[in-house]
Amino acid sequence: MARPAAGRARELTTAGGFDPPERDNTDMNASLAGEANLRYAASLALAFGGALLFAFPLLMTMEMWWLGHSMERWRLLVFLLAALPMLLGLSYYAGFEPTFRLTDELLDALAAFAVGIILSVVALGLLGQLGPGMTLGEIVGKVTVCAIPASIGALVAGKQFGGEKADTGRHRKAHMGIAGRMFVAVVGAVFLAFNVAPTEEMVLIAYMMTPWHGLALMAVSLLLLHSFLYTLGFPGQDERRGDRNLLHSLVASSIPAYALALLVSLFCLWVFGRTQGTSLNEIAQMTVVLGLPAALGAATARLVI
Amino acid sequence: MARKPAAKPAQKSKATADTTSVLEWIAGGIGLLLLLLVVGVIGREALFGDRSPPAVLVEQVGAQAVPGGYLVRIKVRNDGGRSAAQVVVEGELTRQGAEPETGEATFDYVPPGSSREGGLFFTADPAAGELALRAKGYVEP
Repeated sequence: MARPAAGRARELTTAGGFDPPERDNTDMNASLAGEANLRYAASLALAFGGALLFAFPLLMTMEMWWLGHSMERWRLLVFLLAALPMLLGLSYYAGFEPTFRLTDELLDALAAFAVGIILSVVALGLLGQLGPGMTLGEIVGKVTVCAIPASIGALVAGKQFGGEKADTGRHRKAHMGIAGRMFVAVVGAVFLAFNVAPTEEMVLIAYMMTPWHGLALMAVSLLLLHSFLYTLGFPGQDERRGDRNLLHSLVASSIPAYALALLVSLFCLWVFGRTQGTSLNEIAQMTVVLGLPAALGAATARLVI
Repeated sequence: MARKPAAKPAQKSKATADTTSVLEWIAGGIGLLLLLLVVGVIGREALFGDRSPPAVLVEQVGAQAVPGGYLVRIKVRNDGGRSAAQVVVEGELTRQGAEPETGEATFDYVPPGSSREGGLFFTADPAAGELALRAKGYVEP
């Protein structure tokens, strides 16, 4: 489903698209509105593709269906309300429209949410997860839990598949301050951690690990995060950082990024009710376990955003 | 889609950025509508939702002969306010002059207000005796 959508969008892009040099000097206003609609339709198709790609592992995870109705409603509400500013920020850094204005970012974030909801309804329906005998609350819960990662995917798709949008994005990211970098790290952490966060395995692994395993995993996570950020030379990596010494780069970037990854992981566990009635030791272990994918996501965030 | 950085004059991107297409407003509007709907439904449940413990009722939907015995189709409904996980349902079939026969099924999840269906197998015809259905227990998710 994703491939045809992406393919169709690419065709639209070349046909109606981002780059028609012969029209630049002619009467632009006449065709501009139609062109803008066409371009936006192409972006929306891409958004559906991205949402599907990012959300399908979760749409096919039984814990996601269960969480939709077993999660306490106010946690679900907090989760939803926390996701909204993230969508807004993502729309700014990676939106599927090359825009700068607040109205447009807001519209993009809302459109991404619509894409997430529609995709979740269709996909969950197709997979036989919505049906008679379920209350409205259960259906809305299930759809919402799945729609949040899907709408993140919808926004990220703009950067992943888009041509011109990617360029604009990169241009903006060059001026990204500390807050921007932190935001991108958080989104990256969520992006990767979310794929495993709802599963029972997080709890199970934490039970099976000794505290020594936990400490070792922390060291490995930090090492991996640091290597991804500094030594492997990923695209989007800040060149100047290479000049700093190891201690400075660790304290200035890697350790704060890992701390953010741990916070993201703790928040996910809390939202999914994993921390309830659990001892502090177990919560710490679970946070560290989920912190591994979160740290990898934080380190490689600039690849996806 | 490799593009040279300075290939495009600045006014092109400015012109596109200034047009918020109709479709964009429609998509954003639908998003806002869906968001309000979802927040409304979840918020209402968070504020006024029923928080009572699960109350699981089991009822017989039908019975039929199947190869190897008889099948009693059952439906469990949770009238409480919270989800019940691993709901064990037992059916006991008592016939005159015979040992009682039991059938058992476990439902992964029965959310509040929702129902799930399943079945119990017996070797004897349930119509010939008395069938008692009940939920034996659950786990909080």
